[in-house]
Amino acid sequence: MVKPTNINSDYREEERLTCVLVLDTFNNYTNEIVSHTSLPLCLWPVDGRPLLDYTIHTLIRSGIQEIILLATSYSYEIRSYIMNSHWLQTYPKLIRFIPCKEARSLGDCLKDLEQENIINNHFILLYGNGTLITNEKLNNLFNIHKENIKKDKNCIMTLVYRQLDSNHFEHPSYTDDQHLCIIRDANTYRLYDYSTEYLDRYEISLDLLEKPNVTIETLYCPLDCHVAVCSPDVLHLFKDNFDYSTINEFVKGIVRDEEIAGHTIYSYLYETGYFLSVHNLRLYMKATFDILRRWSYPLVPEIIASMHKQQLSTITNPTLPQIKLNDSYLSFYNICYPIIYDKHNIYKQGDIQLDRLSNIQQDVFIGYKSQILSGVCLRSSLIGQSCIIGKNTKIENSIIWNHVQIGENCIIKNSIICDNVVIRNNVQIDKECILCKNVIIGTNVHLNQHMTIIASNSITSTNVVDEIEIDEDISAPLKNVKRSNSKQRSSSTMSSEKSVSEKSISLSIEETITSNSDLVGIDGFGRQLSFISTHDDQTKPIEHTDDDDDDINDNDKSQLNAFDAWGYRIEPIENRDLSHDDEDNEIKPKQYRLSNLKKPSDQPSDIQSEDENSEIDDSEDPSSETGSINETNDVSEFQQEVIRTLERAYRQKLHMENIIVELNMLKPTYDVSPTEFDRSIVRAVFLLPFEKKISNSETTNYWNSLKLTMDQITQFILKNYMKITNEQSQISLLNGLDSICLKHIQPIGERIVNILNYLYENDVIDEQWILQWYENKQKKIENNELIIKPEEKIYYDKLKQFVEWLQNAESEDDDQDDED
Amino acid sequence: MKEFTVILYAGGNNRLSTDLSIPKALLPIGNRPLIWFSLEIIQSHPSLASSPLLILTSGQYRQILDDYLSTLNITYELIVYRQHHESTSDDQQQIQDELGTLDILRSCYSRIRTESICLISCDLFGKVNLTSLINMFRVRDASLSMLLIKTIIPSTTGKETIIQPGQKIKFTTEPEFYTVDQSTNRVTSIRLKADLDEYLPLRQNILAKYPRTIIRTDLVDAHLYLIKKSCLDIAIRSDYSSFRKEFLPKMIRQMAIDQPLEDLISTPANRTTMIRQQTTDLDDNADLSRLLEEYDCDNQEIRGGCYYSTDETQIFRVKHVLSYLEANRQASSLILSYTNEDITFKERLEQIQISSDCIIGDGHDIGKKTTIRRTIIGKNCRIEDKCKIINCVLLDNVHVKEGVTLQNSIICSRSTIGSKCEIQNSIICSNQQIEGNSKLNGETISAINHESEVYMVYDDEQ
Repeated sequence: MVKPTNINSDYREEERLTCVLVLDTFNNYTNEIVSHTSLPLCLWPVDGRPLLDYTIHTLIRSGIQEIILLATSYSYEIRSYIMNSHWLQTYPKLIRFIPCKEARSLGDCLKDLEQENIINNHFILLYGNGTLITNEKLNNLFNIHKENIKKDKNCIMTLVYRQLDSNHFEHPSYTDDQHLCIIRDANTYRLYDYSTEYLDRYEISLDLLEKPNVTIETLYCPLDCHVAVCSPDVLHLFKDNFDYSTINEFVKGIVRDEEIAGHTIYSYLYETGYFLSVHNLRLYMKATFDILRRWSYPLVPEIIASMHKQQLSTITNPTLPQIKLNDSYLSFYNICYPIIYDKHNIYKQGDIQLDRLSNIQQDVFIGYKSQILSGVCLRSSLIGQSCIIGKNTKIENSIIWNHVQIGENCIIKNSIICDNVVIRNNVQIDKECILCKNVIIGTNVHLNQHMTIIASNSITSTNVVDEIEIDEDISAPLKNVKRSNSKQRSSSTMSSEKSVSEKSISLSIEETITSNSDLVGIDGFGRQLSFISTHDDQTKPIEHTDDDDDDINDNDKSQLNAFDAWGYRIEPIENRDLSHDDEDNEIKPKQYRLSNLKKPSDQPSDIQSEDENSEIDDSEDPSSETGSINETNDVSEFQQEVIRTLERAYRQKLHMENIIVELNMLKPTYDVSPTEFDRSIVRAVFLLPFEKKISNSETTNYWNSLKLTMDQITQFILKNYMKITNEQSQISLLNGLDSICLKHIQPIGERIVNILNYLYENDVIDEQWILQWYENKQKKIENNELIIKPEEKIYYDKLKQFVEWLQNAESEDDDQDDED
Repeated sequence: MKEFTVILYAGGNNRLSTDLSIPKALLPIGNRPLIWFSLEIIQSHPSLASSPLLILTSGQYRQILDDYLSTLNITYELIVYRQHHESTSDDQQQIQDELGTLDILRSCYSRIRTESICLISCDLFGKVNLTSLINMFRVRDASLSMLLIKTIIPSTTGKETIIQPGQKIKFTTEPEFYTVDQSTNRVTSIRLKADLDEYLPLRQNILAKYPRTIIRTDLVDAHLYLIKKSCLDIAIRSDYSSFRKEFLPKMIRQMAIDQPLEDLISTPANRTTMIRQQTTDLDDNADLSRLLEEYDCDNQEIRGGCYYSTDETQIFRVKHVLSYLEANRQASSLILSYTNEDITFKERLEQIQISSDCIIGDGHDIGKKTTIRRTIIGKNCRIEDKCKIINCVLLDNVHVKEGVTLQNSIICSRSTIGSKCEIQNSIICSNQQIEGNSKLNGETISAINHESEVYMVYDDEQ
């Protein structure tokens, strides 16, 4: 272990070895599950310490002098962990923390980092989840990268891989999301081609093969360490090309534009050493067991624990932490108990109660104050702190967090059980299940494989705290970076959570989750996590690809979600029906989604949250057929996009032509029908004043802001799309306006006179259509086809008032004409 | 039971000397016929030396080859194959109609009694280290081991640029792409450039099995194969005519993706005969263990080992003028290494300068004030006074008259060079008379003079 004193003094400032950790997988499935455990993946426990600790240990061993953490959604937890851990006290200048709350991709994070302007040297980038466990020393990579630059000054990045055996598909470290085909030079290791797609055949151009002094080597599915040694230029490239959101896109772009930009990328292949980049749940489990089996030596529990103890004892001033750690689930990391390492890789942390008749086989970690009762059989498992394992329970290859109670005669295999879970008697849990925080599994329940049981909504109280506190603490990075996420769909749960106002968050905290007693038993609590939003994300690009090519971008984005939390590839929908038992895991969530919608018990919470999230909710009708959900979502997204476009146009005072071109461009992108398009335009025009940035500006009055926007742009938009001579579009304009007014009686409906008057005066609507439309409406009312609710009366009164005025005005006009 | 049957392919036309009496196999290199070198390669490894040797040749050369081989102390069996589908007189047609290796092999297939076969062609020249190849064949229980050699432009002359004698003919060697697994030396695919458009495809299922492979473009086939009979069975029964160009790439592909080789037998009829053949074998053959091994070969993963030589003595195939010249230059040292017999010219004659790297055959008559350097001279050559011969190959019975300067040229047998000629970078075919005072540079003089035939390019296709 390098002594802390060496770390900051020996090197000159400009040669500091920097390592950047991006602490997010950017996988919606993983993040969804993570959100129910109240701990970010990088703080998940691995043998008593958070995953992140192992990475930091690795980096300190490698002589890294500066660690920059880029955290996205869980910046509060990560920050408070770092603040309270001994790291800050022992290595005060080592860790730097940059929250990137807005970031939706690796590219966004790096753009934020670029803004900070603190990187001016080569650095190691740990992407994936930023959690790499290795027993190699990484400082060597800097030399390798510098050698590459010496040979080829255009080299900007060196990607790091670890060779796997030839049967790597069965290798436990390989998960589908690491699929990769690399074409590189066998001698210089320069990267020539790079493909993450799963194809039947890959092609190498003959020109490349026949280049002199080039010997092509293929590298198929090496273990991706998720490590890249980068030159500072990489950040600028990420900033300049905002379509690079992942490393894959970046590398592809660089390789493709090699002749234009002249940048090259090299690769480095470790042939020995233990490497594991934990970025999905399968690898998380593997990391835990690998550490128990001491593959990662010297990074093994008892050594790390003893180091922590030393460091903690040397701290002179324990009252240092500024942020009070109120989260119990984080605080346990700060108390360090000695770990006893026994033969057969059995680890015992501090005081434990181990029954004489229990059978602890091998590779087992038992946390502080856990009770193992008689007849318990443990094998390759991690038991957290203060757990109680009931009699005759069998646990194999599983990870059990803290404060978990497991009853008698249970069988648990290959699963993750999070904090405060209660499992009653005679429960059987098959492989790759996750029981999230606070779940209770009832008696005699049998959980099939690949179940994710949750007991909370993803919107947790900590997130709200996160929003508020961090903003005060740290000045957020400048927001003028152009983000690729402006088009990010609001449908995904994680992002919608961000886009809703704080008010709606606080509402949804209070709502309780409906338990699915069929699944977890009568005395259980919890329901299966369904991936409605993410699945929709998944289905959309597939539909699009048939129509046009504009969606390449979307497809790239969806690649992020092409793998589930376990790292399995999610098969395209078409194949899903054909697949059978072996792909149960991928079918399950989908099937469950369908059944979920039918179940009335689950519906309310879903609808409620959807309603809260969407500002225009008439199109969101979850009880409608599943098939139309995509469609309506698409339309509402399109509408959001239109509103955003108009808002931007209004604020930046764009030219009329440009806006129209932009809107026209949106039409094919979202694949909306012409009528939908018109309707969306109308809605957008009248809902625009609700947008925060517009309403807040000068006046809070709806009518005033509507007038402002109308004056500037929107009336021209309407004129452009709803030609005054076209009966159909005029009527649909009026219908659209009508429905908006009915929905928002309060600010809009009561102003109908002003609105119609305005439109009439500015020649947006011709009076004859108004009259015609009103007549039809009246007829319907008379025939009782349209029922006027009491609260809508004011609207109809106003409408009548206007129409009457119009008729009078008309006759007056006529009169005047006659007189003239 | 012997392990191998050695099949030496000694066919091929000699287009160097226009009289067709000398087959390619007997083309002299360092005054020894080409086949001598191939036989030395075979003799260099004990397990091949003791194996039955089948020499394939065409009818017209049978006698002359037999005459030569009988002088050597070896046991062999000459097998005559039909050279063409139809004996056509039209030379142009012949090239198209020539039989492929597999066609030829079919004619002698019944003679093969061993489990493995060594296929070798007689134009392989150089010190081949067969031990490692055979060891690999045995250790990996390979279906096929092949020798790959580096494509090198033969040169021992160092910085001197080599000028190809004779008419300028461009030898376009067709690149081949060998995908090899470096750790195991396994060949995972062979692609001929001619079969590809713009891209070299890599199949995912092969990549999955062999994730780290190198695509070598700097290797060529040496036409030396060790092959299991079970594989050759399939080759023989398939419809393919060429072993190297058609069957081999397909066989390697099938092996790499674990598909049965039987798929290569195209017609179902053939396949059933194949199966019948196997069952009848069972009845005939009492030696069950050997039979099981044969079955093993068919069913288990069949491996094709790959080995490429980086020996200091260069290995190449004598197939065009440049390689022929190069072979001649290396002949003396190679012969020395095989037989410990120094054939370089040792006699010191008065008023004649002959450098020590020359080989001069018996019955020479060399005039005074002649300088000879780096030259191979055949039997019964007569060189008159004041000649200057540098870097040349003279075959038998050449008469060089007074005051002739020869440089970087090949003079074929029974030719006469008139006095005071200056000949550079040229090929003089056999039975040619060059008049005195001629000056030739980069020309080919042959009986059928203006024909643009590709000289010395032997049929690659064997």
